[in-house]
Formats: sequence, C-alpha cells, structure tokens
Amino acid sequence: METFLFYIFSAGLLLTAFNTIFCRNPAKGALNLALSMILLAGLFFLMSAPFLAGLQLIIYAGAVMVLFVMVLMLFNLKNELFVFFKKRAWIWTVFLFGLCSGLISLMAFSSPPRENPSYSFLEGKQIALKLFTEYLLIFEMIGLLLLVIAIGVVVLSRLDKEE
Amino acid sequence: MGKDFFEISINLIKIFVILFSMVGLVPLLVWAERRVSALMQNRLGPNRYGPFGLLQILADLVKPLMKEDFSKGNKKLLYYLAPILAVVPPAVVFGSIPFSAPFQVPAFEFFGFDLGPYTFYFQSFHLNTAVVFALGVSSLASYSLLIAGWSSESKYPLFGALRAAAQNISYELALSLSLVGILFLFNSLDFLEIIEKQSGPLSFSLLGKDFVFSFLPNWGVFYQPLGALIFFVALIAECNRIPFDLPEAEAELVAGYHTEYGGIKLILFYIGEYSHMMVSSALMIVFYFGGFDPYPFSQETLLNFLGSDFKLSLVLFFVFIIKFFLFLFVFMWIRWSLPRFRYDQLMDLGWKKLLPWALFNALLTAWFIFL
Repeated sequence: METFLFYIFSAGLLLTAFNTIFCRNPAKGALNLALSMILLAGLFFLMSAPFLAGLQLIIYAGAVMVLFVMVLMLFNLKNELFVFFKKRAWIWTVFLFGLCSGLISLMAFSSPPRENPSYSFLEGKQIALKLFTEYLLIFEMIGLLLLVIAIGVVVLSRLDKEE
Repeated sequence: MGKDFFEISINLIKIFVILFSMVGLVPLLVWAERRVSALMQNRLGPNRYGPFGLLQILADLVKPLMKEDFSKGNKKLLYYLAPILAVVPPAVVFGSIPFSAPFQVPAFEFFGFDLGPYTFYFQSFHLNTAVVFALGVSSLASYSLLIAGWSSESKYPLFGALRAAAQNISYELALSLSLVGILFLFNSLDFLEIIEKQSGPLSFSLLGKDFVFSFLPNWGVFYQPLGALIFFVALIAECNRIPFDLPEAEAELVAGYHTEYGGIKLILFYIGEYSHMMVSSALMIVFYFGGFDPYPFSQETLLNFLGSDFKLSLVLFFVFIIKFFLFLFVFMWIRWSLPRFRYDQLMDLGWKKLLPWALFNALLTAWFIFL
C-alpha cells in the first residue's frame, strides 16, 4: 500500500512540476506548483514525518503559494509573456536548460545514493534543535535575506510612484 | 486476514458515517440559521411546512437540484473543480476531531473469525500531530475561493476571491499564533491528549505553590482567555462569515466569488462554508472548552455510575454534541448581531491588533511556563 501511494504521489509530483514549467498560463502554472507542494507533503507523510508534512502544508501550500496564485491572477502578464517567448529567446532557454541539467546530473551521478533519514530526526523537537543550534547562522541569514527582499520591494514600488 | 479486514472495514464505515453526518447536518444548520435570525429580529422564520418548519429543508434542497446546470467562462475544469474543493478541506479536518473518549472492544468471535481486541476511536483517523495536520489542511481552503473567482472570468468574482485569499492569509497567522500558548501548556499535538489534560478541576502550580479551584473545570479558556478570544475571532474570519464576509459583500460585489455559480454547485459552496463552521466550533471546544469533558462531573464518577467503557463513551459523545451545538449557536448569534467590517478595518484588526496580541500571548505563556 505504501509503495503504491509512493508511486502515485511521485508521478503526480513529476507531472505537476513539469506542468509548472511548460504551462503557457502563469496562473495555471502557479496552481500546478501548489498541487506539487501538496503532493510533496503527502510524500513527507509517507516517510512518517507528519510534522514536516503539516509545516509544508501550512507554510508553502497554505500561505506562500496562495499569495503567488493571487498575484498572478490579479495582474495581466501578457507583456512579460511576450518578452519571454519572442525571437532568439530560445537560445537562452537552451542555455539555461543545459546549465540546470548539467548541475542536476553532477548531483545525481557524483555523490553516493542518499540513505533514508532516520525517522527520529523528523520529529518536531529534533528539527527545532537542528535549526537553532547547528544551522542557526544559515537560518538567521535566510531570515535577513527575506527582510532585505521585503524592504527592497517596498522601496522599488515607492520609486515608481514618485516618477 | 480476518483481523486486518475487520479493522479496515470498521474504519471505512466510520469515515463514511462521519462524512455523511457532516454533510447531512448542513441543511439542518441552514434551517437553524434562519430560525435564529428570525429570533434575533423578532420574526417567525420558516414555520409552515412540517414541525417547526423542518420540511422547508427538503423544499430548499429540491429547488437547486432541479435547476439547469449552466457554466461560465473558458476554464471549465477549474470552474467545476472549485465547488468540490470547497468541501474537501473541512471534511478532512472534521474526520480528525475526536467526538468522544476511545473505548476498548475485547476479543470476540464473529462467523468463525477471531476478532479484536480493538480500540474504537470516535474519529475517522487518529493522528499524533493532529493540530499541525488540521491547521495545514484547513489553510488549503482559500484555493477553492481563488479558483472559483478566477475561473468565472468576471470582475466581481475575481475581486471577491482576491479579498478572500488576502483575508484568509492574514487571519491564519493570528490563528496559528494564538494556538501556540495552548500547545506550550499541554505540550502535545494530539487532540485526545489535549482533551485528557483538560479533565478534572482547575489546578496548576505557579512559583512553587499549588493552586486548586475545585469549582472550575480545568479548561484551556481559564489559562488562555486572550488566546481563546483571538482564536475565536480568527476562526470566524476563516469561515468568511459576517462580520468578516467581505469576499461576498453583496452591497459591493454582487455575491463575491460564487456570483457565477448556481444550482448544486452553489449548494456545494454552502456545504463548504457550514462545514467550516462546524470544524471551527469543534476546534474551539477541543482546545479551549475541554472537549468531551463532562463538567461538573468527572469521568471517573461517571464511569463508576455507568459501569462500562462503552456507555461512558456514548455519554461523553452527547456532552460533546451539546457543546458543539452551543458553539454553532454562538456563531449564528454573532452573525446576526454585528454589522460587516470595512476592508481596511478588517486588515487593521488582523495585522495590527490580533497578530501582536497573539505574539504577546505566546511570549507571556512561555515566560510563565519558564517560571
């Protein structure tokens, strides 16, 4: 049963991730991404990490992706689409695709296959301990980065108005 | 084979019973809402057909079922998907709520199979991290509103959907943060454990002294009055009910995100809204009002009086149901007593009042526990 569910979730995850990239309509792409987040939470559940799955649902699927979907539905992105799909753009597409696939193949073939993390690691307390001791610096730096992004967005939108 | 098959079939039956009782309660709630609103406004309400006008439910159901099934816009799949998505998250969360204490079924023989022992939970499925699960799944509810508004390809539904999504995200923060205090106190993510820790008289130790108030129950609301208030307000906002029903403000937006829906699809949205209300009142009881704790009696005296686990569970189930309907009444009471907020007032309340107070509540609780 677990293997069956694993294959269902993984196939769905791959399909929705594929759709996210190749969907012409940005809002539909975002909806696909949201669905893939939910399926990823299902995979976490299968790995007996219900806490992590719940966090995935609350933070990514429930908050971040809702904002993305909302913004993409609100704005008319025809100009951006036009720029993205105009002539010569395929060169960049091929270049970026090559770069990404090279990176992924490096990761996939060079390092030894990962083992399943032990189940106890996935409890809430262990996650908190790891986050606030071992990875504290990275955690705080990411927080700072997000703050900088938020301030930058506010400043940029103000600049537009003044002009 | 026999034992597994037995447990799987029992669980499936439980899932169906809980789902259908939830859906079946919705028309009853619509009727109750109309009667309560009539009571509030000194009217009579539906009272013509059947006892207390109860047969009005049937008439109200037949009418949308007989309607023509029309659709709008080009995004047909999403358009038809949205009403279904509105029902799924509250239904899933409702399955994880324990309605009564679990009881043990001793081993017995059934048509030649040796079955049991088996623990019967009064919920569709029992999770150790039910709180995180419930919050996570119910946060997916805003997708249905967004998809409905967007796929209708019309102005007012889109505005309604955007308002709904913005409102849900803002109030979800306050909702989760106000729960942190309760999680600190009871130190568990399991609904059953949280309820268990709320039984008995109010007793706690502070600064090395033990306090016991034998006349009060040991419910979360006495530890966390501020958290309970914030949680309740955020829950009403999550249900999109008056005074937070900006997404379907009929004076400005026709009917918000479900303007372009009719017939059975509109009914599905109503089922989603009312089951959200049921989930909210059940969560309120579980976290702050002792779950199925039968105040002023204790569970031990009831067990001695009744004599068996099974009877105790049934009695506790009725206790839960009584509290459940009381809270549903409070929801309706609020809906028919308060006017709608303006949109900036709504956002101010969410971000500038509820969120800081919820943070303060969490910090205060942490400090008291540290003492």
